[in-house]
Amino acid sequence: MIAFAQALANGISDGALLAMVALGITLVFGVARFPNVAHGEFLTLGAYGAYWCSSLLGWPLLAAVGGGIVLAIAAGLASYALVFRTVSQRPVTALLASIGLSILLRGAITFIAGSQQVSYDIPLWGAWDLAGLTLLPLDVLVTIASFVVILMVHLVLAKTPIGTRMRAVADNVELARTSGIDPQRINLATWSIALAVAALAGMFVAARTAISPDLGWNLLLPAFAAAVLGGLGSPYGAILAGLIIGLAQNIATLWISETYKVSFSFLILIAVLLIRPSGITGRKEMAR
Amino acid sequence: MNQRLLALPLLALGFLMSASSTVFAAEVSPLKIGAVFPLTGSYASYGKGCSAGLKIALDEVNAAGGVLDNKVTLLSEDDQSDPTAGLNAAKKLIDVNKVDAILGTFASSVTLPILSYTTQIGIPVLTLSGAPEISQIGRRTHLVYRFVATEGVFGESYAIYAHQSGAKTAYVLATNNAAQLDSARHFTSRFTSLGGKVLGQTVFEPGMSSYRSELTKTLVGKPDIVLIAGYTDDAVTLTKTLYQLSPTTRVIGPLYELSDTYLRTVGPAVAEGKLATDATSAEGSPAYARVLPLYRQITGDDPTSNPYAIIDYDMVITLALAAQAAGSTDPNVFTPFIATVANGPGKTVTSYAEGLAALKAGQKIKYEGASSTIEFNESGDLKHMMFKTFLLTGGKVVVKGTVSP
Repeated sequence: MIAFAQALANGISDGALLAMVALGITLVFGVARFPNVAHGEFLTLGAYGAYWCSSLLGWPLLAAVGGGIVLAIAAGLASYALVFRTVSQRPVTALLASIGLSILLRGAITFIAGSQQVSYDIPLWGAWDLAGLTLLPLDVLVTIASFVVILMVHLVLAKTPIGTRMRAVADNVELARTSGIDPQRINLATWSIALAVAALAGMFVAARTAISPDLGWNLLLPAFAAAVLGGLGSPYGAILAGLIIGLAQNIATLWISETYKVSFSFLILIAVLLIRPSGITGRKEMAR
Repeated sequence: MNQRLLALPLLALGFLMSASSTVFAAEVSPLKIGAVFPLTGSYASYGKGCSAGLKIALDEVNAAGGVLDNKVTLLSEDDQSDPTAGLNAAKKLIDVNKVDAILGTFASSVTLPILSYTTQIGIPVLTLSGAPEISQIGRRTHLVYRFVATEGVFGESYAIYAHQSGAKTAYVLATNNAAQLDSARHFTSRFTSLGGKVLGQTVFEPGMSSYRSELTKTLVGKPDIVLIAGYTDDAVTLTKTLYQLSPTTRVIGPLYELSDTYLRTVGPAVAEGKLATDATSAEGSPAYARVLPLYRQITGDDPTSNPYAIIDYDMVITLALAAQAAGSTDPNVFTPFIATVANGPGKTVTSYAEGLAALKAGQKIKYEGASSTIEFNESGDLKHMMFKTFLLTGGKVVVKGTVSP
């Protein structure tokens, strides 16, 4: 029972991070209609940005977090302007371009930062023991922060005029245009939110582990699985699917070897897609 | 079109003729050695020392008159710690520069693709890699000589050191690759035979962003020590989490994993008390005594942090002695002599000049190196190698002693 509760707790903290990454992927898909393979690199850039601001420039924590977000958004919007905008009508070309961009960005990051890992200078607190359940304060903090970020994205999408327009553009860009919405501006706003979420996710992963040029890339496949499982383009689906995959991977390790826990998440993906081809919350039009 | 079709066999014939002519020419041509090792990428920190080791050996050989009265040339290429770049570097050295042997290959992931090429064309490879597959290739082809202990012997060295440190129970975390699984297997059997108990083993995938479930399993039986058979990047993630879960649990692993780089990344608090082992040079040997000041002069550093540099030195000396003993710089002729001059029997020699004099006097020789006594088994694996034990404490890597697995 304790083992199960422990797996649940571990799964929620892994799942919250996956949910953040999947959310970013799905938001971009909603407006740009292609899965951005370079999304992982914006996690990495966010993590390095915050590291450079805090370790090299000596900025305080919050300012460094802001620095990381700004770097990821700047790089992301630059790649939008230079690459993705020109291929926006051709999803397959955009997908291939994003693969190329991913390799290019990783190479550039390795060139600048080197291939050796670096760590944030944050304290590591001892674990809490709650009647046999072991919780790491840092993990708890990161998990809470992840949920706060997810909640903030929800509030923007559901409660603000710009959020309504984002959903309108994601639903049907032509209808949105005839209602007087400028899709270009909404595009930029959506990309910015997705990039900020990516940067924060990168920092959270880095806080738990370390920063290396492969940080985002290593998370991309499970996050893609979550985005697809949730129904590409559906933010709430991505959040739910991220949590499901995080939980499933950890609960599965009660019975199967750790070596197969990643494969297990894809097994779930295949099983769900067999029953619901457009994902948990996907609508029919997504399958077209 | 027809002309083109005709051109192909003609071209092939031309290649064959040029190939056979080089074989002929090799009888008298000077020995050319190709070195492939990491100067950039994950293992770059070892590359600088390796360059120094190679240079010291080359100078020694040429100062003594070279091989078969010809100066030896050495060409180096950076493998970028990357399999594709490493294979391309080896191919370039063999096909363009026409080297007679490749030496110094470091990571197993780089060495294995190189071997799949060199074993087809009969070029010997002298390697620093630990993967168990290399033994099988060596036994089958006799074209690879491993100048360092296998990963399995590393595993035994952790077991002895863990036992020495007073650990009674251990848990094994192993990266999912053949080399580390071999290391874990040897650790388990040696630790058990020393009276210890291995509580369990978990094989993990590299590059994960969380190892909570692995570590939860690890800590169930409260082991005295945890072996992390793997590499620095994953050790950072694993030990940071382990430190939060159970700061008193000790950790052991190879020094190439729990290295200076590791220490810098995790900081002194997490690194405190980690145990590590690494292959060490034959520090009491005459060859080592001769190389040590030269190495310090070039690098300003001590070879204790990079025993592979000293092994590189021995590779060049052994190869040069083998060609001299064979009376040929043709790899088909001199390759078997690598084992002959290393294993003996014959007059013990500890430098190239000594060996050259003995060979010219018609004697058989046994080279005793600066890195180890250098004796190979039938797979081309080293028979004996000493290990040093280390403790990470106070933000430093401190030498503790030696073990002989």
